Amino acid sequence: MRTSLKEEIFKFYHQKIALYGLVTMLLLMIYSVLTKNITKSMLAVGFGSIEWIPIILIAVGSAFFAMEYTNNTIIMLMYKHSSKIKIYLAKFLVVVIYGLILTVVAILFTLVLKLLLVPGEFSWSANFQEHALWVDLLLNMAGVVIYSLFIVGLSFMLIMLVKVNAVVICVGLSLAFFGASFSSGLMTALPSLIGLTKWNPLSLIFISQQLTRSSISLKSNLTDVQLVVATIIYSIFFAVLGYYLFKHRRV
Amino acid sequence: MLKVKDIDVFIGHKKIIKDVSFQVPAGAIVGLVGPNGAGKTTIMKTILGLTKFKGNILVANQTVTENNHLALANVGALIEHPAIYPFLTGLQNLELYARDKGDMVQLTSTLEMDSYINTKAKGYSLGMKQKLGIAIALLNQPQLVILDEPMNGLDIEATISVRKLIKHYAEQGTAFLISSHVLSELQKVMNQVVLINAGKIIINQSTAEFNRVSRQNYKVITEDNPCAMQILQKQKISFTPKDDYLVVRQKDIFTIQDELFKNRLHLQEMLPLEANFENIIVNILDRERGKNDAH
Repeated sequence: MRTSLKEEIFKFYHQKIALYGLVTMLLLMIYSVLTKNITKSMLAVGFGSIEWIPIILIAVGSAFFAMEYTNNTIIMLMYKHSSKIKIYLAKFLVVVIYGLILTVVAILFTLVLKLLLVPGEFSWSANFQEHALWVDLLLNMAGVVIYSLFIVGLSFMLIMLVKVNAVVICVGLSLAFFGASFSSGLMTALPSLIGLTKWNPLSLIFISQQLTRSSISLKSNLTDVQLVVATIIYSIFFAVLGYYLFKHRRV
Repeated sequence: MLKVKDIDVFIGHKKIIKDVSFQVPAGAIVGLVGPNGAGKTTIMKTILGLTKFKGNILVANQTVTENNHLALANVGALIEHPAIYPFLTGLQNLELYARDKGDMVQLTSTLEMDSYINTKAKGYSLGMKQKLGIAIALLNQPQLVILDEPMNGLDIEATISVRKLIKHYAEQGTAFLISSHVLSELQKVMNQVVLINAGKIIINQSTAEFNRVSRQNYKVITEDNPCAMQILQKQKISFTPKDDYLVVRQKDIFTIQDELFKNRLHLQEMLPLEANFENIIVNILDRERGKNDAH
């Protein structure tokens, strides 16, 4: 496993897609600063980074796996290793760790932007919604980290299923922009089935804000604990399904 | 070194490799030859444990299965296209698999890759990528090397250099299984031929035996060919007249010599016809197709 992990880190580092993802996130945070007024709410969501991180992760995750098939290197990878699970897990871990790094950088960059642009305003210890502002930021980012597990599992499963990177990215964008409203719409349209529909995977995107705003539970119809547990269960489900497809895909 | 015994490979319910058995001893260079879609690449992938199969595959007396590749630790391979990460340099691609840095440096030098080995592989030409793919396959002094179309995209100098390298490794004991459409090139290195058609092995012979059996025709020139033709006709010996010589079968050459001697006709030349390897293969495959059509 250690060898697989070392190889994957080496490739991920040199592929540069990680760097492009990071730069894209920083540019989008700057775009948010330039196009909107800076408010406590913006600080709590890391200048929109909580929405951008999952999109970047789905694109990076699928590209990182798809390139093995595009470059025919999957043959080397498969025959040099007996254990397909180690290959899959190593890739999964690398992208999840990348998601963690993006989150940490997003937090630091939020601090820097606030310091540079509104140094005297919005104290981090001041109350916002139900907690201190810094707690809101950290809780939202914690939600992103948990949601990242789901996103990486989903992107790996999709790239094994549809085999086209662009399609996976489109699904990621659709989830980010329409997932929440589609989920709410579904529950509103079928109120009698809400006990079932509230568990749909599109609801999971609420995790990135519900942990700091209990009012969002009215949209998701799930408690914070239910939301966290559902996200983890869906993450495992998609990761296992993705592994099954990976194991049985012809090379 | 490699023993393939009774392997069957299926795609869905269709059997695409049928009861294939052959061996590649240490130091042997075995050419896997056959038309497109015959199953050459599938056999190679199966040996590398990349497909499900029935039967037995042993590398250095260790079993290879779809889920157990321990026996493949000392196997190098180049299958279909070179497995290269374009965002890495040639050297980084090699470093990803190399266990011995000295061996890696030696290979890049032998294959004359020094001038571009530190540049990103995405800028490489087809030939440069192919050489890198071959270098990856030859890393770590492998016991067995599987090369699928290794001469693709190589210029004449590189082809000669790769040919020499293959022979050198074989002399050191490395076993090779090579497929190539360039039969004339393969003919120069291989010492065993495995001919495959529609997933079945048709011929599995040493090249010496293959040449002996396949080249059965002789060229005959006498001091009076029209007279010789009359003698052969009289004795009911079959022949094919050409411009200034006759083509006869190997089995008749002693009878022909005796008859010509009896008729005081002098023989000027009697030589085995150098049949083209490609033509022999094409003829064998045509015969096979004829048989299949008849069935």
